[in-house]
Amino acid sequence: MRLKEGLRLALTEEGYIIYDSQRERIIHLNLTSSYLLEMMMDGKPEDEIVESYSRDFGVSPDVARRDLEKFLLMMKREGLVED
Amino acid sequence: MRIEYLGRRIGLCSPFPLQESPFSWISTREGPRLRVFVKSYHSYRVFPGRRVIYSPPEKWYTYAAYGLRYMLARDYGGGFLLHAGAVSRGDGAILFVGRPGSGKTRAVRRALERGFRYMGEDMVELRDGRVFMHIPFTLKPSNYLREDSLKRICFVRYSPGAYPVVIRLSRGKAIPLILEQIFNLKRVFDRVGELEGMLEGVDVLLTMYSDFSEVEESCLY
Repeated sequence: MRLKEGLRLALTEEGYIIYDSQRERIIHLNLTSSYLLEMMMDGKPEDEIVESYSRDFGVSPDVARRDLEKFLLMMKREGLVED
Repeated sequence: MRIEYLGRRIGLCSPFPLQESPFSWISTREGPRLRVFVKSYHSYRVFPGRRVIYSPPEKWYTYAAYGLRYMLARDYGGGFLLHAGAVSRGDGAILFVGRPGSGKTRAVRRALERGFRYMGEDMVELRDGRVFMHIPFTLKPSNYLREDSLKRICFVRYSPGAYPVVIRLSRGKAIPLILEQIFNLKRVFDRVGELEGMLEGVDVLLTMYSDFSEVEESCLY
C-alpha cells in the first residue's frame, strides 16, 4: 500500500498535513498518524512498523497493530492510499 | 439560482469555501461544460435574532465579479490569499477568519466604527510576513491601511445559545484551520513553512460566540 499520486505533504510541528489537490481538501494527521505515515512512505513492512511503533510509543504490539489498522482504514476511507 | 428573502436579506454570499468553488469544469458527453454552483436558501443556516445574515450582491455583475475574483485568486502564485476580514490600528493587523455567515464582515464593520482602519472584507494577502489589503465589496470604508504586520488571528464561530468560549490555539493547531481558508492553496501549499514562520509570536484565538459583543471583546483589543 502506498500514498496516492498527486498528494502533497507538508510537515508542521503538529504532524503532517496532506493536500489532495484533485479533491481540494486538507487532511491533518496527528503525531502518531504522522509517524505511521512516515514508516509507510519508507516502504517498511507492517510487522516492522508495528514493532517500531510499539517500541517508540511504549504500547503493546496488540495496541500498535490495532492503531496501524485504524490508520490504514482511515487512509483508505479518505482515498489517500492505493495498492 | 434561487434567492429567497422571507423578510430578510438572504442570498448569495461572497466567500466560497475551498470545497465549494462556484465555478468548475465538468465533463459531459457533449464535452467540457462550465458548472456554476449557486447556493440555495436551504444551504444557509438561518440564525434567529440576526436580521442580516448575508448581503446579496445588488446586481448580477457583482456576483460575476466575486466569481471571477475567486477564479483568479485560485491561480495566484504570489502570497497566501486568505479568506478573512482584516482591520488595523497601525500596530498590526487583526484577522477574522471563519466560514460564511460566521461574522467576519460584521466584525470588520464594528471595528471600523471603533476607529480601526480597513484592510480586508473577505480576503487579504499574506506575503513576506505581512498582511496586504484587499478591495472591499459590500463595505465602504473611508479609512484604510495598505499593509501591516500580523498581530492577531481570530477564528470566529457563531454558536447560538452557547456560553462564549475563547481558546488560544497553538501554531500547529492553527495552520490546518488557516490552510482550509486559503483560496490559492494549490499554488502555495509547498510554502506552508513560510506561513508557519509568519505565525511566530502571533495571537491565534478561536472565539465561539452567541452575542457579537463577545467577538469585539475577545478580538478587538
